[in-house]
This record gives sequence, C-alpha cells and structure tokens, in this order.
Amino acid sequence: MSGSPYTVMPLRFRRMGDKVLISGEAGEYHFLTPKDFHDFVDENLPSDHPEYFDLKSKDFLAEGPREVARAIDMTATRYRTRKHFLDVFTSLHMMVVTLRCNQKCKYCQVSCEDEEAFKTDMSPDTARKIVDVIFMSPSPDIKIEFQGGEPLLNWGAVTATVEYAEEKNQNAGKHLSFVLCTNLTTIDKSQLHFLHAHGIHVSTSLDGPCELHDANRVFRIGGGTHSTFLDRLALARRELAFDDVAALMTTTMDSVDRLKEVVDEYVRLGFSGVFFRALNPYGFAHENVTELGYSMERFVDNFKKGLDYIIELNLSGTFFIEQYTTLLLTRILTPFSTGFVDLQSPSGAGISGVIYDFNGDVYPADEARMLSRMGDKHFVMGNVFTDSYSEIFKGKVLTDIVKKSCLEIMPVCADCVYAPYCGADPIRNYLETKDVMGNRPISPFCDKHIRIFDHLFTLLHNEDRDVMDVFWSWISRRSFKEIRHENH
Amino acid sequence: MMKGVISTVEGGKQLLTLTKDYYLREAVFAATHKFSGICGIEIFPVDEYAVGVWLTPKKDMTDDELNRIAQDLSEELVDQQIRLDLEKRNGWIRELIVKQAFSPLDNLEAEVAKK
Repeated sequence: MSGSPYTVMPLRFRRMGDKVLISGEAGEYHFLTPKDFHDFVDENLPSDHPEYFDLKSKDFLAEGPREVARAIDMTATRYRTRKHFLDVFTSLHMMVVTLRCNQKCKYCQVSCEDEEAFKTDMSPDTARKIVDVIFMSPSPDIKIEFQGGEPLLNWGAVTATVEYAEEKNQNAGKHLSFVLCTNLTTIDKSQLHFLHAHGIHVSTSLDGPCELHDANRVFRIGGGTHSTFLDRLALARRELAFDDVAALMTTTMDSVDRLKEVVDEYVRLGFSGVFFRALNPYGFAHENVTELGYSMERFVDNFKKGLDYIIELNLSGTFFIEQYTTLLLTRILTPFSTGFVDLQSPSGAGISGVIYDFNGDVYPADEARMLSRMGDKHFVMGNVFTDSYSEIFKGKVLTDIVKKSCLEIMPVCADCVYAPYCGADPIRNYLETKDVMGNRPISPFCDKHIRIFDHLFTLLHNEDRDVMDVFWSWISRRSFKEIRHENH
Repeated sequence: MMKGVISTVEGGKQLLTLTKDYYLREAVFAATHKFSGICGIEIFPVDEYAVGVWLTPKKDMTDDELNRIAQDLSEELVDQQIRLDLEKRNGWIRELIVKQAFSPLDNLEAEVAKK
C-alpha cells in the first residue's frame, strides 16, 4: 500500500455539469466538485475537508490497512446482497401455451398467429413435461407465467399446468405462484373462477385512452379493443381481488408525446402505477419500426415529462408510481437486489428467468424466442423432451450469456458510473450487432439508460424535499403523507 | 484542449496528436471506442513519443460538431487515464471485494497487509 494518508477505494465516475458523480462497487454514490474529485483521487484531500468524512463514511476512502480491510468486508457484504439473485437461480418460468391470438397488435413482439393455427398450441403433455423441468430448479420460489399469443385460447394447457404444478408442489414445498399474461378480451367467468381458486394473478396490456390503445391494439377481425378490454377488466376485478390485475403499456410513435394521457387513463381506471415501457424491436414491432419507432432521446425526454407529471400527482394526494423509476431508485437508494430479469449483471436471461415455447424449446428470454421466430435460433438452450435439465441450464448458450453479460468486464460498462445499478441485455445486443457482448457506443439500450440515470441522479442531487419524499413513498410502497410525517 | 493533446484540422478532418507521456495505449483505445459510433476514427503512430487520432465527420456533420467531438474526446482521454491510474492503485481491492463476497477469505487483514 502507498504511504499516503488514505487509500482510494474502487470507484467509477462521471462528470455531470459542474459536479462529478462517483459510485462505489456496491452502489454507494456521492457528488464532488471537479477540484475536490481530483484532490481526492490524487490522495491530496485534507482530513479536515468538508467532503472527507462523507467519503470515509461511504467507504470511498479508508485510512490504513485495518480500515481498508473493514471497508472491503463491508462493501463485499453489500455486493453479495446486490447479487443475491445469483443464489436462487431460475425462479421465473414463462410458458408460451399458444401463439394463436384473437388480436393483431401492430407492435406484437412475437408475430402471433391467427386463431386457427392450432399447431402452435402447447399440448397438456408438453405442459406437464415443462413443469417437471421447472421443478428441477433449485429456486425455493417458482413463478410460472403464461404467455402467448393469447393464453386463454389454449385454456387446457393453462389448467393442466396449474393442476400438475400444484400436485408436484405438495412434495416440493416451494413458494409457487402463477401469472396469466392476457389481453383479457376473451376471458369469461369460469376462467376467472379458476384464476381466483388458484390465486393466479393477471397481467394485461393497456396503452392509454381509447384513441391510443386502439391505434395499435386491434382485433384480428378488425376494430379497436379498448371498449371490450374495459368490460372484461371490470369483470375480472369483480371476480378477483382488485389489485390482482396489473397492466403494462408499450410506447409507440402514437403515444410517445402523450404519456400524460396514458397516466390519466391508468389513474382513471384505478391502477396504482404505470411502467413507461419503450418499444422492443422484435416481431411486428421490428417490421413496423418506421411507423412505430422513435429515438431514445425523444422517448427519455417524454419519460422525464411523464415522471414530472406523476410526481405532481403524488404531491396532490394521488399515490401513483412509475414502476421503472421505482426499480432504479430501489437499486440506487437501497442495498437490495430487485430481481428484475431484464436489468441484471450478469444478465438474468436464463438464470433468473427462462421461457418455454409451445413445442418444449427453451430460451433464456422472451426476446430470444422472438428472435427465433424471426429465423435466428442462436439462443435455443435445448428442448424439454430431448435434453436434460443439466444440458439445458449448463449448456453453451447460457454459459456464453453469463460470461459475456457481466458489466464488470464489458467495454464501456466496466467504467460506467451507473454499472452498480444497471444490467446487460445480451439478446438485444446480439440482435443489433450479432455479438452477445454488444457495442455500447451505438446501443439504444445504453443510450436510454444513461439518459434515465442522468435524470434520476440530477433529481437526487437537487435533493428537493417533495421529490425525495415521493421517491421514498414509491420505494417503501407507503403513502406520501406517511413518509412526510416520518421524515419531517 | 487538454494537456498532451494537439488538435489540428486538415481537409475537414480533425487530427488529435497525443503525447505518450500523458496517455497510455489503453486509455486511448478506451476513450476512442466511446466515440466510435459518432464519427470515423483512425488511430496511428506518429513517432515514438506520440500517437495520432484522425476524426472523420459522418454525413452532414458540421466542422463545429466535429470540433466539439474532438473536445469531448480530449476530456474523455483524461478521464480514461484517471481510471487506469486508479485501477493500477486499487484494482487489487476490487478483486478482494469480489473474493470476499463469494468466497470469504480466512484472514482479510493479512491479505490487505501483503499489498
């Protein structure tokens, strides 16, 4: 060790206007002036400097070998907590029970099939075979998510899966849960009764008010789906618990400048949050990108305006969250692992979540399956009938993804100040560059996240009391009033 | 322009001449990689003391825009060199953190004292 009065612990940094943001290995962060930053990294910051104690308390510097060892131990503990998702391995298991769909949404990422394409239905036998594989996962938590197409069109596979998984779980004793991803438009009471009886949650899609929703979400036979969606949403909420139905939106060219209207519709319908989700360039969305797409700059500019609007809503008494912001803030402001498959390092693809196609093929992520539908089978991990659990989950595809999706070794990411909070998207990287590692300088994924992180850290640096209280209410899922009362 | 950087314009292209006393090869590659999607980049040896970086404008890019990129690249070079310097000094700590996280060491203080 050097003879200087302190050791600079590992850090990443980014210049932001008149400040330098630094982050530590386990996600601690701090802002410094450029002069203080240079004095600090040059080991010239005096111990009576106002920043010195903060840097020391956040383990950005340590005095002497014993302190360095303590700081390493503390940081290692936090680092391990952040990587907790690696301990439990695959807990999210998505099953594509059919590719058939009664809708033909313009941005459909799976290029769904028409209602007569029964060859894309998963058989009950395949469903049960997949459940056998699912229960080989070491994870104590198993979430089975039904996807499509429209899974309600192959209801037999859904019920067979649920009943067989519950039967197996009597011995396995895992924490078993189910989610049905459905457009809701064909759901009936008997299906809702089944969902209720088995505690199955519903995840649906809502793109905003009628005009925005119907711009892209249309029936295969023609016509918008908004009105039918609202009817079935009301029915579902009567038969299930109100909060058992969650919704996701997809931002297209139609809605990118109108996120405020999207929020208003979500509030009007009683949802407690929205996820401003950018378009994914797969399937029909890939084919229709000229009509539906937009730049990341435009998306994030509107994301910020939407976020401002939601913050105002909270300040005026409506608890409503932006879910992606909440996820990122949880990573920034707490030591916990958030378990969001799409933003992990190494990537959560395959190790946190996995998807089984209707024929038993296994993919590390929904996007990999979409890529396969587009003709590229690069990410097929195996098939539940022909490959063992070990061959599927310890095979070359997954090994390659894990090796090449650790931000700590990825060019540009390794140096990025946001690395402790971010993750890799190997499937998207491959789609864009034919390389799982990808190329950050031209990556829209990276562009989007840098812009969003810049904005969130600017807000954190501003330390506006109202904004911070709203953020903490989202992270802790408590009302703004409670947080305000507790903090002040 | 930053210390150790000489910037000149030739035929609509920008040339940065970097003094090796200030910038390691790794810093030059890491910094230029970040700009690889923005403009054309070519790295070449000038002599034993310097390395050159040609920046070529992309279609419709103005001289001012290219000049701005050259400025940003110069700043990024400094930052990359700082990162390398820091890594040289505390890279071993980063390795110990990861080791300690997933396979705790018997005597961490002794490991630190060795450095």
